[in-house]
Amino acid sequence: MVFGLMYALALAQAPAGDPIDFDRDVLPILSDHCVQCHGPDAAARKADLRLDVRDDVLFVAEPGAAADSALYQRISHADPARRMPPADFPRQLTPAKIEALRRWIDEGVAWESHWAFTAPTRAAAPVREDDTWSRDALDVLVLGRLAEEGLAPSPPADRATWLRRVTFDLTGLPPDVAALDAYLADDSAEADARVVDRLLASPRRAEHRTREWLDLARYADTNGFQNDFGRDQWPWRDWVLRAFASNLPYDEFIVQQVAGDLLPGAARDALIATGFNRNHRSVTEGGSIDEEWRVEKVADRAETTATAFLGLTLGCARCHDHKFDPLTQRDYYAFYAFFDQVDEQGFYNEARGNVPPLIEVPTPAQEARLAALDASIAAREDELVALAATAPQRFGDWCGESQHPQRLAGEWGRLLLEYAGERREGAPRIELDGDAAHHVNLGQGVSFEQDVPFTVSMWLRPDSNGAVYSRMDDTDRYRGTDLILLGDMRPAVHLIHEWTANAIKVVGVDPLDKGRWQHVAVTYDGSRKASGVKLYVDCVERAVKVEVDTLDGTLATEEPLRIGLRRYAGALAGALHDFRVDALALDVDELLNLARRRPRAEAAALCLTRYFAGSENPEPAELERLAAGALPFFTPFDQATLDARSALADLRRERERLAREGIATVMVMRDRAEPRETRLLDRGQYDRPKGEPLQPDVPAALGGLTADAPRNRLGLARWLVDPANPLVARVAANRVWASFFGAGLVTTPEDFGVRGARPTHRAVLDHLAVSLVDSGWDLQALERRIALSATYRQSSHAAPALRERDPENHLLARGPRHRLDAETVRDQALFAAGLLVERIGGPSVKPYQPAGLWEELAGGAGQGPYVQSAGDDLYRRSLYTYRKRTVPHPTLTTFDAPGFELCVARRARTNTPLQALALWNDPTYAEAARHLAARMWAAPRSAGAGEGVDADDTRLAFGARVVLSRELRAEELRVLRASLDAYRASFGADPAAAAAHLGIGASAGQAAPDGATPTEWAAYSAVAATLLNLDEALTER
Amino acid sequence: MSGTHDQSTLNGGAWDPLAAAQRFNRRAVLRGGGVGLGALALGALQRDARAGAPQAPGAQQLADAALGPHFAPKAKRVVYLFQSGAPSQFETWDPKPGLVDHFGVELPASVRMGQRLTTMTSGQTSFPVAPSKFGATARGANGTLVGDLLPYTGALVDRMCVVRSMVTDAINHDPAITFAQTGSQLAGRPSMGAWLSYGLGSMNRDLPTFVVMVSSSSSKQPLYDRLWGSGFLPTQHQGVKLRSAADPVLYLADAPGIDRGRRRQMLDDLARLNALQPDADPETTTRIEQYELAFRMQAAVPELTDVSGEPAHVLERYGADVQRPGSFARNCLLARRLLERDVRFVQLYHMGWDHHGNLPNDLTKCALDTDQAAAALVQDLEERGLLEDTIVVWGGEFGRTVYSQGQLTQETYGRDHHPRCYSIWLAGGGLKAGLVHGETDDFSYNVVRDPVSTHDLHATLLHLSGFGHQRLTNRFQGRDFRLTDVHGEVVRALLS
Repeated sequence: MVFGLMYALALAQAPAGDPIDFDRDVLPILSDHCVQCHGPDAAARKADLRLDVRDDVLFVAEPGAAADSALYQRISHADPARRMPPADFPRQLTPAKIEALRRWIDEGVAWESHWAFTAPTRAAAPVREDDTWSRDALDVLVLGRLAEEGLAPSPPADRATWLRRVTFDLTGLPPDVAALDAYLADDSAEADARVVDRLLASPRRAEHRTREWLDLARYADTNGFQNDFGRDQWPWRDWVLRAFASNLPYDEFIVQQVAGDLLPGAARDALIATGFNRNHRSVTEGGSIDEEWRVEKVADRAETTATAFLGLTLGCARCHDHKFDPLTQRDYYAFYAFFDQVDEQGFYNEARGNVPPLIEVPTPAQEARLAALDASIAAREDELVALAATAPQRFGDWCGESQHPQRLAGEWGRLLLEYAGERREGAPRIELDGDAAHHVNLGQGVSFEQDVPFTVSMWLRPDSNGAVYSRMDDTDRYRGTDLILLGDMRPAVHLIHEWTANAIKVVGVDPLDKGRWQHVAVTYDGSRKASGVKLYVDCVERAVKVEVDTLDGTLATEEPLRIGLRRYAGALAGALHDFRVDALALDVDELLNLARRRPRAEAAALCLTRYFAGSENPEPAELERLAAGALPFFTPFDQATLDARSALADLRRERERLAREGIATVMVMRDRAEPRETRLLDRGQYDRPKGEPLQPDVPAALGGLTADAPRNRLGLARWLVDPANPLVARVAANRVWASFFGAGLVTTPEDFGVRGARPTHRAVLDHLAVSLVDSGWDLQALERRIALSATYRQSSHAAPALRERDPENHLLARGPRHRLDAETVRDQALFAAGLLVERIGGPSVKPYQPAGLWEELAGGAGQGPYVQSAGDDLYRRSLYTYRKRTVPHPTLTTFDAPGFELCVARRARTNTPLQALALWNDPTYAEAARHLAARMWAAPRSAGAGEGVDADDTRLAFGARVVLSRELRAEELRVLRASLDAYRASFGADPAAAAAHLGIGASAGQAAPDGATPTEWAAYSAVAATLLNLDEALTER
Repeated sequence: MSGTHDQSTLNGGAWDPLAAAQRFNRRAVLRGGGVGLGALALGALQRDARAGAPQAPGAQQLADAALGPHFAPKAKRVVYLFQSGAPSQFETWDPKPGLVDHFGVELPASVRMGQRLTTMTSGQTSFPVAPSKFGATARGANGTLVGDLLPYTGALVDRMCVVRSMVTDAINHDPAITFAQTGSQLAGRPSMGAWLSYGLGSMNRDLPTFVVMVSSSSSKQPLYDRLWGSGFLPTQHQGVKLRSAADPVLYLADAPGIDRGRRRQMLDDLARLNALQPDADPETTTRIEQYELAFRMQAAVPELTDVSGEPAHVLERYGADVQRPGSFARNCLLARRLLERDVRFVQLYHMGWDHHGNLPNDLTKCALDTDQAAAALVQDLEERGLLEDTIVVWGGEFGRTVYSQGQLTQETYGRDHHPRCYSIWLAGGGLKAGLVHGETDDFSYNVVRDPVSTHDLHATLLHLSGFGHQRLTNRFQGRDFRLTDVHGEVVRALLS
């Protein structure tokens, strides 16, 4: 009966005699049974009839005359073929629901909008004269509802129970013994408020609230999907910590996360906040289709924003109009359009770590060092500009010093490398057989730089696709340069700092010919632009397609220059000769010379005469003209330029090293310069856009954006926090409520729509929502009043009759009771043990985890094995436990933590045997029990006992105070003493077992507590474990 | 007791599975688990506990919590031999001997019809046909053509339905495997085993309802915990991974220094202390039950994984690899032992079938690693009378291309991903034996007859398990979700 009754409370029909309430009694029936075919989804609509719009309803429902109304006739029709819903519809009407609809029609077809889509108002709450119970306006409302139900509130919980409850709910940790003693000793009227204020100000509260927010923000430390490489979003998580610690007003909390980058003069913190919308998963699996996965990211952002702030199931309108709520597919894509503008790719091929857009998040010391480096770099760059301006002068001098063009000719071209291969029997060529083991390694002698011109040229006869040459580190974001032949033999040139965020890629339009000798050259002018890369085949410049043009960073790598191979591009089969690298961007004439293999001196002479023809003693103006043309040839000889470049390169390298090794980045939102057109996607499919481009907008049923609002995320953010928004404050207040009561007033926090649960106490929810806005969105103020309310203070004990009547505590006739969350279960154990290391923020950590879990599934892909943290990081709060999406930490999952894949507004609370196994045998808990035992052993005699109380009693009592925040009852003490004696006997007879039990965890070497034998300590550890496994210890009550 | 289906309140006694699902869901999610409430007096448990032989009816409780089937099931158990990475159909269950005459010939554009390719080969301008390097033989009464690399399972075609017309929507591993296992390409939905656990509950009082085992040949594509996750269903329905490591189930072995007696002591102490609670509630009782179930699992799992009692002729049937913990063969043997113990859903994954290059060598290895043991499992189940109400499924996440990825030579070739057709086989309860369903064109590129989608396969498996796939739902974020999303049709032709 219990569940039927509970359901009756939720869905229930009005008792006979009470008037029908449309929102409570009728709308859920229409939603569940009718509007799937007679509702907002135009495509699915039957008979052109809507039962979600009153005007339509009046066609089929005559107020006051159910018997004459088509609606009633059809739902009660004797002929199954005529009856609605149709027989094959899975949700048939019950007689009770048919009766409710009949009464609704007979009582006049009352109609109102869905409760959550109209703005909340603060209900007047008449205080009853005899109300000595209420402490807050919300209590008055709760009490009023209880009186209607003929119920009275439960008596207050005892003080220690309240303290434990409020400490868990505000901080995610239990009270320590000192806090318990201080509170119990404080009998002033302000004692409770003092506790709450102390807890609100504690950094532990910020950690606990952050942990809750991460579920909605689907925060994780890896990308998810196939490769599941690591990422660094923890700077965003630390922003959330700061936001909660500083009690950032909730409207600011929203605006910064949704649109911090679009705020005028956005500070770095506001940019970091936008990482909220980059916490989604991202695909790096080779072979993926870019647009398909870009669309998924945009959809995730739109749906997460709708769920987290609006409590809307917007995702239901992705493929078709929403079946139940007034959200059309067009609304979906207009909302989606806000998030469609990000300057990003859909997938980053095998990319590790953060992908753009991102920003650096240096520490203050790093920031100072960076500023100094940036200043030096700027100075060197200025110097280079100045040197360029004076280059003609030095060129003139240089020409003057050069007596003989022939001597110059020996130097020109700055030949860096010439490699013909092994000269076998008259064949000066390099033969490549396509086997990676047989490529040619030319070492590290020649380096390539982003701002230094070069030419690589050769005669080439390709027999397959693969790499022609490379100096690239495929495992370091492909840093370096190469020339490869794609599968279809088109040549592609990369210059990469970080693929693809910072790189050049150009691809020849025409393929090379297999099996034919061709002269191939790549020239680069050092401009960092794709336009500076030219591709010549047979000394004719070839058309190229620019695919990436974002280079701004060094190409330097430790990988050698290789002919015929690049690690992930495959080996080339074929032959080549006259492979050479020049420190110039050669032009066609010079390339022709190379191709024709003219003697170098001859070529040089040809070149120089082009610039000095007939100018033995040129006039200054003539010299200037010539110099302008010849400067590119001069630069490699100009010592001053070379020196400045080398100094600049050193500085850049240092900055690079600092950034790579030390400075964290975080992925953030940044929109493209060129707006992207968003269209509705037919059936939600990425490759089926249709219709006109859509302006970003909010759902029409919620009013749409005002005409003057910016059509971007900032406009969206401002709309969200507009006090007129009916949903945002309610959703927030509901979530805060759930932090205390274990469930929201709306028990479906993810769905405030028509099919979501109705609020158990709409007046309370609306009152809190309105006051949240009125308080300047002060979350702490809201938490404070709930924590100090009489409703929250009630005992959670439910007499059988009350439990039978209201198993889910929807009426709030008692206090909250539920199992602790996954993180809290572990944190409590560490805290009770005195092991918890309370360091705030920073990269995530890796506590104990059974060996092999990552390797078994990922086969070393991603990040290889799980490398357990050492020292303090084993004992940090579970908020900081590394979140690998494809293999979440097993004990967190076992205790119902979400998988961090998608926005989750509510966790399940299950009770399974795997939880028991984890609590018994995860070293976390065995180690914690040993430390708790040591604390118990050292318990001060005074703890709750006078002279003559024996040591065991004192120690057991202390353990109970640590774990349960209360004194033991005599009967409990007897059980624990008997248990202790049994363990003493058992471990005493088996010293090896005692030693083994004391050897668990990284802290196994800890000194034994004073005077404790191994048997004693092991016995106490076993009893401590029992305390930690008590249902009471795992339950907030 | 209060935990049973209570229908009368809402609909006057008509059995309304949806209402039951909603009640169950609310109860499970909000109340903390689908375990029956208040079923058991503390005293009774303590009596058992003190006797050292607890008889808490945990399994019965779990079964009570489930929805129950919509109609009489044909099968009570499922074992899914998932071949991760996607086996080529050409060398296995859809041989095309005629392709030998097309060696190296360009795939006709009329066959490809511009369908999307992975970006690994979409840059390829040449698509040379790569015939299987291996022979194929007509097997069984119907002369079903099976690749010669599969002599053992090939010998069983008369007991199987081979489906050659599977199609999927996804083209890369992650979305395709997720689709095959959860009915959606995007993670977050419950897996098939979780749905069956949710729908049917447990038949076993000391083992999990849904068990997963993983093995691999050489190179492998990664797998993910979420493939056997419970999505938005309560976590008790998630698959429990049975590992080849020292602890077959995570944290199963008692902590150092804790023997069975000391663990028993703890459970007895907890029961005594919980019983002293003045305000104990049903959840307290449930926790004790779960602790007792865990205690029983600690004995049952090692007994399960200890194969030393298996007779030599049985071990031989699975092949030499069965001696190696963590091998596919060992996992098949363990699967049989799990099914014998009425574990509802056993999911095996064998990684290593992703043969973009060097297919002849690598696929041969995968076949050697899996063929004999898969056949042995079917035979073993049959001999024990279990095959008639157990479904065996063998298959991967998509097929492979007829054309070679990379260079095609006489010796070697590779094949890219191909979602438009692939082959699987099924055997056991409620399925026709000796059937070949569906057909592909001469290039095994497109299905030409009786396509079967992933949703259809799911609908069929649910049907055999007693569920209307459109009616097994769970409401999450305002929507009633199904394993088959909004698609799927039962493939009647496969049903016996």
